[in-house]
Amino acid sequence: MKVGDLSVSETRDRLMGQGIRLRIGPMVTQLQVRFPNLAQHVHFLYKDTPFIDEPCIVDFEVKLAPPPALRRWFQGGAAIYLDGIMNFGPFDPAIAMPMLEWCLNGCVFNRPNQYLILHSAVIERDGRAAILPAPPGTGKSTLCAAMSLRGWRLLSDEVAMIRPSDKQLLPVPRPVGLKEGSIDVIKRFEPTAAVGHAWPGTRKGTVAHMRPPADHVARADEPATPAWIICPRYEADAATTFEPIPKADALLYVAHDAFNYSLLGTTGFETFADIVDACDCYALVYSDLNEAVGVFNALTPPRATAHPDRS
Amino acid sequence: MTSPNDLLLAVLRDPARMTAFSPDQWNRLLRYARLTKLVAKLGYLAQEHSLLDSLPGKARDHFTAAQAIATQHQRIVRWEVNRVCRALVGVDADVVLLKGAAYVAASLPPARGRLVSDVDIMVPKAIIGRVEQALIDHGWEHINLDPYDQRYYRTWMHELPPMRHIDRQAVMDVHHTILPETGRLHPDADALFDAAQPVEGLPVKVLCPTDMVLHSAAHLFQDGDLNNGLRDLTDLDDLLRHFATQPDFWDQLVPRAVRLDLQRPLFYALRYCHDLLNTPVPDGVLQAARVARPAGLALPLMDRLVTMAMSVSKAHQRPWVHAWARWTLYIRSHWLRMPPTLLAKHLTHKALKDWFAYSPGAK
Amino acid sequence: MDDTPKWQVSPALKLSWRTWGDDTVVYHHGSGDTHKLNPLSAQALRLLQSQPRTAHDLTQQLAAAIGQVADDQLLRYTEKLMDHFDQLGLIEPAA
Repeated sequence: MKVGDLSVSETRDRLMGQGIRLRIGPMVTQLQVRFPNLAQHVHFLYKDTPFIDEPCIVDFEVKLAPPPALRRWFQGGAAIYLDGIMNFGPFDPAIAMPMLEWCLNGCVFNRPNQYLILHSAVIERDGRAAILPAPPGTGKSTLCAAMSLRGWRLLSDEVAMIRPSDKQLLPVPRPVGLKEGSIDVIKRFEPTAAVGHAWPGTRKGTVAHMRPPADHVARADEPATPAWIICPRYEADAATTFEPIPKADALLYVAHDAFNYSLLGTTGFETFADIVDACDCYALVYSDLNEAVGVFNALTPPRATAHPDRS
Repeated sequence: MTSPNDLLLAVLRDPARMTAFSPDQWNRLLRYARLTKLVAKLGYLAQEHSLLDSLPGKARDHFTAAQAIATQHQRIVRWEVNRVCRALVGVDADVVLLKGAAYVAASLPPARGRLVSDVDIMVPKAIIGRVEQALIDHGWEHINLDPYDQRYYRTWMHELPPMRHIDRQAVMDVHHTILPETGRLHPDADALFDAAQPVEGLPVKVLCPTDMVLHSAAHLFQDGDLNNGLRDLTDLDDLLRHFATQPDFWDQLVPRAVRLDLQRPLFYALRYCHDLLNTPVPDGVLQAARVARPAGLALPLMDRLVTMAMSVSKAHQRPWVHAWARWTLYIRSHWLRMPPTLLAKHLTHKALKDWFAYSPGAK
Repeated sequence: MDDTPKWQVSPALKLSWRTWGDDTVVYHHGSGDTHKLNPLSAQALRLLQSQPRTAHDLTQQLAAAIGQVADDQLLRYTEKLMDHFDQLGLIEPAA
C-alpha cells in the first residue's frame, strides 16, 4: 500500500490515531501528526511512499503534536517528539511541516549507524551514481531536484547512505527541500514538478518541498554503485567550471562532511577510501541549471585506475 | 520487595525471551533500552547467548547501530588513557583508572557495549597538584565553572573540577579518593592504591576486583548518580558474575567492605543486583552483607525508590513519579556526603541556577 | 653512548595508508584522526614505523631518500615534523 492509496481523510485519521508506518528506503518511520490540517500536505508529499499496515519493528517513532500547556503558552504551539521525548520545539505551528521534514532528516542523519552517512545528494543513471557532497547553501538540493526531472534517478537530496559491506548507496527517497528562490527556479525549470505548499517564516526563509518522481520512489529497494564524487557550488552569474580534484582531497572532504565517519572508525576510513578510489572526483561551479545538467549528462564511467598503495 | 514486571529487566535476566517477542514488544524494548543506554549491551547479550540468528533483521540493525557508538566510545577512552599517560611522562604518578575507563582498559565485561561519557582517574592526593599542572601543560583545561562550583569541588568533593581537552573535547575527572571527604563514609584511599592491579600493556592500574565492585556500589548508592541507574546496576551484575570465578573473591568481599567503610553500599548493591537482575550471590555473602542494612522504615523506602528509579517502563508511563524518585535519591545522596547546613546551601544555589538556566528569557 | 631520545610509531596503534600520486592519507586507529601527508612527511612516518629513531637518524634517512645533504635546515624541519607527529599522537617516545 502507498499513502496515495488512502484518501486525505483516511490519512488524517491514521495520523491522528496510531500513525502511519512509512517505509522510506531501509528505514521505517512511525509518523503521527496531531494537527488535522497538515494531513493534506503529508498526503501530497508522501503520495508514492509505501507504508506498512501490519505490526513491525520501527526505526523512528515521530510525533508532531502540541507541547504541554505551560510551554505552549510561552514558546509555541507545536513540538516534535522522537520516541516519546520532545526533541524539536516548541515552535510555531505555522512552520510545523518544514520542521517535521527537518526532524525526519535528522533521524536519518543520526541513528542508522550500521551505515556510513554522508551529508550529500545522490543521483543515478544506468546503475552508476553521482555523490554530491556539499554543506547547506551550495544549491545541491536544487541541482538534484533538476537532475531528477531530467532522466537521473533521485536516491536522496540530503543523505548518501552507504552500506559498508559492499559500498552500495541505498536510496532514501524523501521530499526534496527547496528554499526561497529555488522554489520558483524549479517550477520554471519543470512546470510539472510536484512542488508542495510554500511555508514562509522558517529559520531558512520560505521553504517548500518537491515530491520525488513516482518511479524513483518505487525503486527505493534498488541500490546504486558510486561512480562520481562531484562537489557542487552555486555561484550567481558564474561561468560553469568542472575540474578534477585530487583523490586525497576528496577523501578528506567527504570524511569531514559525513555524520558518522569518525564514529565508524576504521570501517569509515576503508569505506570512503574504496569509494574515492573507484570514483572520478570533481568540483562543479555553476549558475545555469541547464549547463549543469549538461555536465552531468556528459559524464563518462570512471576509468579503472591502478590500485592505490595501501601498505 | 517485588521486582517490577519490566520488559527490559526481564530480558536482562533472561535474554532468550527476545526470540519470542512481537514487533510491539521489540518497539517497547528498544525504546526503553535507548533511554537507559543499553541497546548495544542487549546486542552483546544476544550474541553471547547465540540468539542473533533467531532475531528479526531490524532488531539486529538496531544492535549494530548502537554497538558502533559503543565501539567508538571505547576507542576514545583508550585514546584518552593513552594521552593521559603521555601527559604524565615525567610525573612519577600512580594512576588508577576508575569506572568506565577501567572496564575498557582492563577489557572487563561491563565494557561491552557501554557508553562512556568521561574518563575518571585517581591519583594520590599528595601529587594531585602536579598531575593537574601536567594535564594543563598538555592541553586540558578546567570546564568553565562559576566560582561557587569551583569552590564546591575543591573544598568538598573528592576530585578536581572536571577538565576538558581543548582539541579533543573529552572530559576527565581527576579524583584522589572514591567518595567525598565530607561524607559519612571514609574509604581509605591508601588501601585502594596499595591493592590496585596493573593493566597489561599500560602504565596505569585499576582497582582490585573487590574494590572495583565496592567503588561501583558506592558510586551508585552513595554518590547519587542515578541518571544511568539501570546501566550502573548491570555493570555491577557483570562484575560480580565475572569475579565470581576468581578464588577468594566472595570470601574477601564483605571483609574488604568493612575495611573500606563501604558495607552499606555493598548491601544495597548485592540486594538489588540479586533481586532485579538475578545475579548469583552466595547465601552466606548475602547474609553477611545484611548486617549493614538500614534500620526501620529506611529499607522499604529505599526499595521503593530504587525500584522506581530503575524501572524504565514506569518512567515512561509516569515521568513525574520517576523524576521524583530520582530527585529524592539525589537529595538523599547529598545528605550522605555533606553536612546538613552545607547541603541546604548547595541545593538552594543549584535550584536557583537551574531555574535561571531554563527560564524563557535565557535561551 | 647516545642518550638522545628515540621516537616511534606505537606498535599498539595501527595506521592505515592510502597513496594517490604525491598524496598520502593515513588513518590513525588510536586517535581516529585522518591525516593527509606530503611525500616527505609520509616517508618520515614510515621510517618511524619501521623502527625507533632519533631526530638525527631520521634526518640522515630522509636526506638519503631525497638525495640531499642532511644539513641544519633539514634537521630543523625533521624536529618540527616529529614535534607535530607527537602532538597528533602519531609517535611516542620509545621505551
